[in-house]
Amino acid sequence: MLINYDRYSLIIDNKRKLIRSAAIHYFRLPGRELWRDRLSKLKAAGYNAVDIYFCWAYHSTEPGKYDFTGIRDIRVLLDIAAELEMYVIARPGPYINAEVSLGGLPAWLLNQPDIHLRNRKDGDFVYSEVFMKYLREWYSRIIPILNEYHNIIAFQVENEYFTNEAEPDYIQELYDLARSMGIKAPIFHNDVLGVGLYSDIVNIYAFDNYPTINVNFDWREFPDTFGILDHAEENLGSCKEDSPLYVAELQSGWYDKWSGPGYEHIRELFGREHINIVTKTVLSQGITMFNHYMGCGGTSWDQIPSSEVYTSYDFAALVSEPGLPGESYYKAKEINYFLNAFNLSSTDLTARGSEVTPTETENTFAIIREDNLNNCKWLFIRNLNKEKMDFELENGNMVSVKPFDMRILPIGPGLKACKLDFSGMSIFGKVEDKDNEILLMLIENDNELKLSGFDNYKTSLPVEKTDNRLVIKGENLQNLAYCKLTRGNKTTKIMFLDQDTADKTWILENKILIGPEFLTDNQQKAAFSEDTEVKIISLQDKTDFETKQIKVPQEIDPPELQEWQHFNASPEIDPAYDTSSWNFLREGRFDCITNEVYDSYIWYKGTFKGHLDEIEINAKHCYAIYLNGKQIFYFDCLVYEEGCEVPEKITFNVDKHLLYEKEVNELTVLVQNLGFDRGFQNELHIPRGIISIKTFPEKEIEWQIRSGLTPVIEEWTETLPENLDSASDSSYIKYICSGFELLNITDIYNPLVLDLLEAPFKRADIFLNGYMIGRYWKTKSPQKQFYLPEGLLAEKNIISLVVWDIKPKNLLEKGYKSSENCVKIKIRNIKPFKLISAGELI
Amino acid sequence: MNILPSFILKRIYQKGSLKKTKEGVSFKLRNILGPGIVTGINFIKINDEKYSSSVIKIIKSGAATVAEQISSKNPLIFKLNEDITCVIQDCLELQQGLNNIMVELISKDVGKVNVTVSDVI
Repeated sequence: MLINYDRYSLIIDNKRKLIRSAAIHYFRLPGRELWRDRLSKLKAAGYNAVDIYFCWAYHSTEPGKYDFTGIRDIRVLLDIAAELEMYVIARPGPYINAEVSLGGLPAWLLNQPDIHLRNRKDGDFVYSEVFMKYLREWYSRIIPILNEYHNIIAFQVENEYFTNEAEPDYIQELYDLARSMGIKAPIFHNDVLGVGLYSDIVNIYAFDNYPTINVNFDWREFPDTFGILDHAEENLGSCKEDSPLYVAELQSGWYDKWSGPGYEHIRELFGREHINIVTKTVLSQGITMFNHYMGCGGTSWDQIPSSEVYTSYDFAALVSEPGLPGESYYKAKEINYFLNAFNLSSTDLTARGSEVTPTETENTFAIIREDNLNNCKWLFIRNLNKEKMDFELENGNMVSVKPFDMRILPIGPGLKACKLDFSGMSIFGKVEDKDNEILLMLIENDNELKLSGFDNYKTSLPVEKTDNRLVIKGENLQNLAYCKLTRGNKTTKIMFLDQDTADKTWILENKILIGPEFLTDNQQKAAFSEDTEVKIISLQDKTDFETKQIKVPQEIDPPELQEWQHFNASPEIDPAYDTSSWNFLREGRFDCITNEVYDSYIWYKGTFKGHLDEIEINAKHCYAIYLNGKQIFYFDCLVYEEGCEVPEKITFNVDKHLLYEKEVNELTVLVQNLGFDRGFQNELHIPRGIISIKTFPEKEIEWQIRSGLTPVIEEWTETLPENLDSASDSSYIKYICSGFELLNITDIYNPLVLDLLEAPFKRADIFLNGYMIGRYWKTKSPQKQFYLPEGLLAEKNIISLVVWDIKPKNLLEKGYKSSENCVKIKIRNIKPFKLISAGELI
Repeated sequence: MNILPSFILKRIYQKGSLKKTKEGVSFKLRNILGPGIVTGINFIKINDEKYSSSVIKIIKSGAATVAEQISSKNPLIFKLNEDITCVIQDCLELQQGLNNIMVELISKDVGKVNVTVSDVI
């Protein structure tokens, strides 16, 4: 593949391309089935590229060891992208942010002597040969794989990087390294500040743009929200004058955090309107490369998430965590279809503001661009007012724009059998062959469409015709109505769609398929959740359209969980527990970095003699302290203020009744680490586990440490649930498990969730077939349902929960006395879809 | 606390704008980062002296607002590439040579932001 570029666009194999990309996190989508499904959905929505962060930590859990097999086999992912004929934008970091632990750097880097991660310390540039040595190793593993693929059109070095004085050395070295390892594609960096950083090093200047990051505010109340994009061409276009501007991350959602408002709320903010405005505003700046971030949501399973985020990384993305398209998906499809019909990869600004709309009003925006490829102009017009706005344009045309809407409207493009003088209604898409075309347009009331240059026309619509000019008014239009124009042997059929129909309209092999809710499997499967009449329109049809009836099964029962087994999963709490295999603390320090303990759970044990009054402790994140086998304290300190972790040093009194004054006493501490910081605002080097612990009076305690919960299940004691419930205060960690079978139902798309809405406990880690797929925390997270990723499912499955409920007495009061309560935990369908071969339909 | 890199701070602060006026002391900031909504100005510190929002005046497009009145209900809209002048009415003296200035404000999007710069008079 020959990749070139100029100031307008990428030129791939001598053709100008407008790059329409969306991001996926393959590491949050465990399983090749998920990769194929999500990429297929993006392709069906008209994206021609996929943006992929390659996560170093996901592939390397120990120095020198790399895993690119199974669900980590990125060749499979890249093969799918190639098969789907999608370009790939490769972003291997080393730092990726992505709200993953350590921003994607492996935890084992933390303990390397003299290392300065990302060559940065307290914001200053500090070159670290140790870091560069390991980084070269990562690049030497990932880049040769990328080099096997011809469809990689851009390569990013680092991510959102800056130092106090913006020294260029590190980015320059990464650039040189990538080139020396064979990267041929244009190289860019993603400038989080949007100030032209490192633009003199890279080939393409890229920036990210998130107009709405505080989800407690509604962007509709702040008309200046899109200010950076409104002036991107003017302010950033000169950063790199010989290459196109690239919006490497264009907001299509946002992540939720612990104690956040939940994705239902975030989806309200990032529906059709937001993605429509940001994308069309970007296009109004002549930008020909954008990447919607995120294209697909995912699951922060295992140890992927940074401490800030809970399990679901739905992101209110175009495609939700369980794979269902949302409102923004359909709007993005509409824009992509339009861009596929009219290649806007070479345009120049000709007029803006009052040059376009003489009576300029507040909170509106208007730009006209000359299209060098389609020999026409485009009007970009936006209304951020709460009321509909009517605009009179310079040339006398009128446009009516709904509140919070933006349109790209044609001025004079030539069609096969006519000229489209102007339309206040938007173009949806087009299918065509040499002599015939069908132009699909959206019905937008109070607007009109003006055509000229045709020989004849045929329509059942009321139209106005004067001097070989035809005017069609939006208010006269009905869904699927059309007007057919001819000129010589050429025909142009203009068909009008309402919004609901547009959402279910797909362009496939030059045919139009109306009815499916989505397409998957490389557009070979069409999905239906209800009985539907499908319409198929092709260029050659003599009739208006062909129809087919689709029947879907009435109901699909979700799998039922079998009887639960219960275990006491924390024998470590017992004073008699054998710790001979545990390590002693290194350098007398407790933290996980010094001791190289990176598991979610960390145990500490130590003994002392005599009395104890108080303990002072600082630990991350949730911890319980046991004295002689009895819990004496619990705390969680997952506290963020304005994005920064808040350390919490706690002092508490020790219950003297539990002390053996004359014998040896044993302290046990269990700490749950919810991930490292992502290192965006904070330093990366923030330890987990116990940070510090002091006893009053001071005791000499020889502490031992071990990672993980008891790894051998045989060590756990299976017990009757009622015995667990009424057991001593020691039994705080319960392991409960159940099984379910999946019937092999073909041609059904039916994502499943584990529903803990009525769970009788507050906290649990959820495992599916041994993989940790979620953290349930009733009081800290709005997430009560956990997606069961298809890639981790088998015919026979085990669901297990490690329940760490801190106050067993509360449970008893709530009636958690028998396994009957577990019945409240269910597997549920979200929405089943019948999949029909698209080939059979068209 | 969001700490901006020094090279950005140097671009935000208009070098040489620190001066003594009839009212007190003033300096100028330019928003080069993006449209901002300021929901509070906590204080301005000049050298070791801290000035509360009640004695700080923000002048934007010729209109003055006492910083104390800026809140989430009455935010200060700070557009991209727009200039504001900060006036500290109580501040009577500047030192000859280098003066250190710190503005602590609250942004709608990112919370507390510290702008720490220095200027010579």
